[in-house]
Amino acid sequence: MANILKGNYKLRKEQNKQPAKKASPKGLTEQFEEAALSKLGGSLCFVTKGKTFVWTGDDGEEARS
Amino acid sequence: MKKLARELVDKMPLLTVNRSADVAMANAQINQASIENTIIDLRRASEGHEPPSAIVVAAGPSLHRQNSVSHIVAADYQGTIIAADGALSHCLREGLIPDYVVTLDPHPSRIARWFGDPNIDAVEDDYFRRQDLDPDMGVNELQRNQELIELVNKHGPNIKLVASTSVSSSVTKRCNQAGMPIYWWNPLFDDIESPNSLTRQIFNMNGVPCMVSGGNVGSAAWVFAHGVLGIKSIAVVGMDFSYAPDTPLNMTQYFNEMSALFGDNVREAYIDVYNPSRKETWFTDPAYYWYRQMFLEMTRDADCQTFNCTEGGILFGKGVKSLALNKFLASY
Repeated sequence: MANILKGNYKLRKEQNKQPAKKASPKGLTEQFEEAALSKLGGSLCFVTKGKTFVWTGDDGEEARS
Repeated sequence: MKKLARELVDKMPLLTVNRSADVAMANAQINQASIENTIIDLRRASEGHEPPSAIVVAAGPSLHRQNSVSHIVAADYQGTIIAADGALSHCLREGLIPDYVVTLDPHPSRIARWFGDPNIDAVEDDYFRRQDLDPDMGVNELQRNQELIELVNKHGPNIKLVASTSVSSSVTKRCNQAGMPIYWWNPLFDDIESPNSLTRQIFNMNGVPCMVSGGNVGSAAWVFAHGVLGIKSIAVVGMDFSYAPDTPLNMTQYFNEMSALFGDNVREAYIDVYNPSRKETWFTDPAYYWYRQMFLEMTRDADCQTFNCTEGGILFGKGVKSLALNKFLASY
């Protein structure tokens, strides 16, 4: 009987059943700082392409004119 | 540099993405229907007979303090004039008609004002009263706006607009209305080789060539002169990247935001820079300082000569030769 009832699978190890902690809500100060910081940036970000100032697509691609 | 200012400068690339990327993408989608010509057309037209020199007219405070535009007009300079959008009004009032005007910033309402905005009948935004880019725009605002509408309507058809696809549709409509021919470009937002590159997404959407912006419109105008028109001798005026020593803090571009963040310590967020040729200490905020560093980096990489004829500000270092504007005008 014991053989019949023996499972052909393995139980997963008991997982940590503690519910995942929710991210603590941001404090008012932090929210305020984020909002203010988000306005300090430039017009648009800058990324270099080495000495290439204009990129018109990879080989086989062609920018429109 | 104070610690607070250094931290902000280091964060500037990320802050800029946060500030502008989403709205720039949205604007690019809206502007797609208006795209007929791109900067490639201008490059092709220029190839083989590149202009020998150009002056990039940025809108820093020295433009007014040094009367740079009136000197250019008086010298009857025959090279190419490329203006930042914020300098257009001053140029037109002084009788200098730029060959090109570059525009970049995605702000929904302010940028259209640089072209005269027919859709305002009251001024709630105090930006133009606080900025030092064009002090004339900060007094009698509605009257100045009306005068600028008329000037841009008159001269617009002779001025090529070099427009980032990130600009607000209010700018596109206004410039179309004024008859300005528009040549589009996408700004490089990120590394096009990276997965999910925003730049590549926009390029795949509209097929418009991408150009390094340097983070601000004045720098983008220099990139256009060198990278698209192939000009080898480029002077810049009004390229201060900073505020004149006597400028009140509340007249600086980011004062409201920095004041809200740092309160009584707000002065700590500014950066003082001694200009040895002027023998003056100018001050700047983290965004402008970051622009300056990026601009110097670009000029070092470029196959052209860059002359800083601003006669003020904080732009000096390897890659840029300081020169009095009159000497440049006498040589070119």
